[in-house]
Amino acid sequence: MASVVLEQRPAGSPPGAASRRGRRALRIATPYLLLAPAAFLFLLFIAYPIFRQFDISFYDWHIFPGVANPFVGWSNYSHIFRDPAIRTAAWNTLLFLVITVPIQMGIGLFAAAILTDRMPGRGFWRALIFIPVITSWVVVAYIFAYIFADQGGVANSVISLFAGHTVHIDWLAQTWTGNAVIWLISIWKGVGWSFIMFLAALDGVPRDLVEAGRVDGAKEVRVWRHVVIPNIRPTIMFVLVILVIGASQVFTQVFILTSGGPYGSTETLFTYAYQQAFTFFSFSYAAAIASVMAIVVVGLSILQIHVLRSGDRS
Amino acid sequence: MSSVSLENVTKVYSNGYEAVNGLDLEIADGEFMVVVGPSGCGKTTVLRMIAGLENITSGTVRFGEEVVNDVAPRDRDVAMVFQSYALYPQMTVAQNIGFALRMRKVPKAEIDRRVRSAAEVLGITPWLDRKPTRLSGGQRQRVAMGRAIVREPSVFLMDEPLSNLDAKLRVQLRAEISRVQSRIGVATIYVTHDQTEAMTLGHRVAVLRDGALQQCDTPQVLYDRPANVFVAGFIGSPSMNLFEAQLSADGRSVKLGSQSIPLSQEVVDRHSALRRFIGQTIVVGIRPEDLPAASDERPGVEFKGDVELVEALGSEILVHFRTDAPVVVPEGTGALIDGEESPVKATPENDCVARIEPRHVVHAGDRFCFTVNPERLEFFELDSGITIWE
Repeated sequence: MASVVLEQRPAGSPPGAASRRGRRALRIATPYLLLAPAAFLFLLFIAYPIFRQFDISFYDWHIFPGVANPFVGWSNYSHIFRDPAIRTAAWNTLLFLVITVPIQMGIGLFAAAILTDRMPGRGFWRALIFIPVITSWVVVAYIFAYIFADQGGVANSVISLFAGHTVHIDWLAQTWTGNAVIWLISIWKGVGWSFIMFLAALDGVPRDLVEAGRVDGAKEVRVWRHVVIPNIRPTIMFVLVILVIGASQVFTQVFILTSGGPYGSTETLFTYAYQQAFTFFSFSYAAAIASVMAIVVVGLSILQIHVLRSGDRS
Repeated sequence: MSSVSLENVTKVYSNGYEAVNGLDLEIADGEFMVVVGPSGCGKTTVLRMIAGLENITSGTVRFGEEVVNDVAPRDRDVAMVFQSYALYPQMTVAQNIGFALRMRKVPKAEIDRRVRSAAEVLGITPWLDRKPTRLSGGQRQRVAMGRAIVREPSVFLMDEPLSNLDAKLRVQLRAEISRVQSRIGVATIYVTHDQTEAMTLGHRVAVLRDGALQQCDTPQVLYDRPANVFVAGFIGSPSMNLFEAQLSADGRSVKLGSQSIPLSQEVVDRHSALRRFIGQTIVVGIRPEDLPAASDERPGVEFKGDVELVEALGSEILVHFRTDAPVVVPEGTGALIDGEESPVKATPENDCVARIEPRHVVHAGDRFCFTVNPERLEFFELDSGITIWE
């Protein structure tokens, strides 16, 4: 209160007022100074590229210096809706999202529910589920490429063993099997993350609440429905939003396993955008695709949060 | 409604820890049984085994004639009030209270009627539409009670339901619990570590230590005739003063340090087993309220102590004093006396308490003279801590 009064004095401040003003300024500036390094990096590597991406999408932009970059308005965006290849990529991305996200969440929650503190050997099983998360996408993708290789692949060898004759399935060269392998690797590698999130969330559900549900006459399914799930709803919301964002940006596994082939049938929006940018050098078109994706993902996330929050309120 | 009986019930956890050891307890239909004991004595485990939330290692739990050892909690028809209240945070007060009825597929109109009725009994009707997070501790406790009584259960279980409340609210809700229990009239098992709650609420009180039953009786009997030093020290506030004392060769007096208290023929006859301890060291117990100031001229003999601390409580004065007699404090675990395992242990502080009338003037450092009435003395074996009676 005293410092406020001192601030209002135009002249004749008592001795020590200047140092008090200095301390107050430092106190106000401290949080901003602490934020500054992170804010600088964010602006440089996140905000600026996003801005440039939107900017480029309105030009016929070329990476080579000295070449004219004429303004083309919305034409890159209108091309998106006329491009048949992007429909396949969008469909594959949507299919990937609809299949992998619920399965990852389902398996993650189920595994977290059974690998509780009472489960013998839980440490081993927890590690087994989580290890794929911390392995490199590139390494894992190459291992899967080997497993599902046409010649000498593990999958074909195992099937041959059971079939009694040599089987040659070119897993990665066919639309559905190629997509299936991409889904499989994504679920296998990603399930550990949702598992860990749910494990932490379930650990936070008070034991008394679950037991109160049981004493109140609820069967296990209803205890889960009425007690456990409402208590881990914020985690469910978080996992769902993050997985949807991740699934919308699926890239590495597709790029390494099938490169979007055969004939673009396993292409996803990001591999397609990458191809447009770095194979055909259509940076502006790729930027337009990425911009639309960003808007869709943000919109989806807001929608999910809204839906889950309204469910919570009800 | 039904009675509850525990027959030789034992609980050993997977790590080998024995929480309850061969417990036998009978709770009649409509009876209010309080299970009391220090932290870690196994009282909550007993309650959880009755609720079915904990498996029984051996023994039998019956509700009426039915053995319920393997019956799931939801099928036991018990209602439980948890220490944390365990209210479902996403539900309103009305939904919390009606949850158990909903799980039993009771028609909605009937649920509404019973929820309102329970809410009226507990005076929580204005909060029915609120979420538990918007209620105070006392209000939450009432909701937890409401959730339990709306069920009209066969057995009512309460796990330290007042321990999270402040002292004033605890006194208020204690009376309310007593009122509600007598109204619903079902067998109630109430767990607490607070002996005041135990004494005021229970028709009978079971005192546990280290998973073993020490004594189960009415509060007055526990107070007047404790079965051992543990019960003597646990029941009563401040607790009973316990001294190491020498029973004289003729068995007609006990010596507490340098002070001797003569025992009348009546006392010797009443505690006939004292004869076995003639010339031996025993434990003598004196309640603080049985140590009035000598100037009050109550019947008895003088007993002097050096005053250490005076606590004036308005209605009474608690005088902490010392004598040269070694004081014994019951322990949760056994201690060594003369190389033998014993449930009693001499305390180095030798601190004793007397409760005297507020009109007396007493200061720390005074040598104060109390009166001891030999009729009011309790005697215990030094080694086992068991009371010496007939």
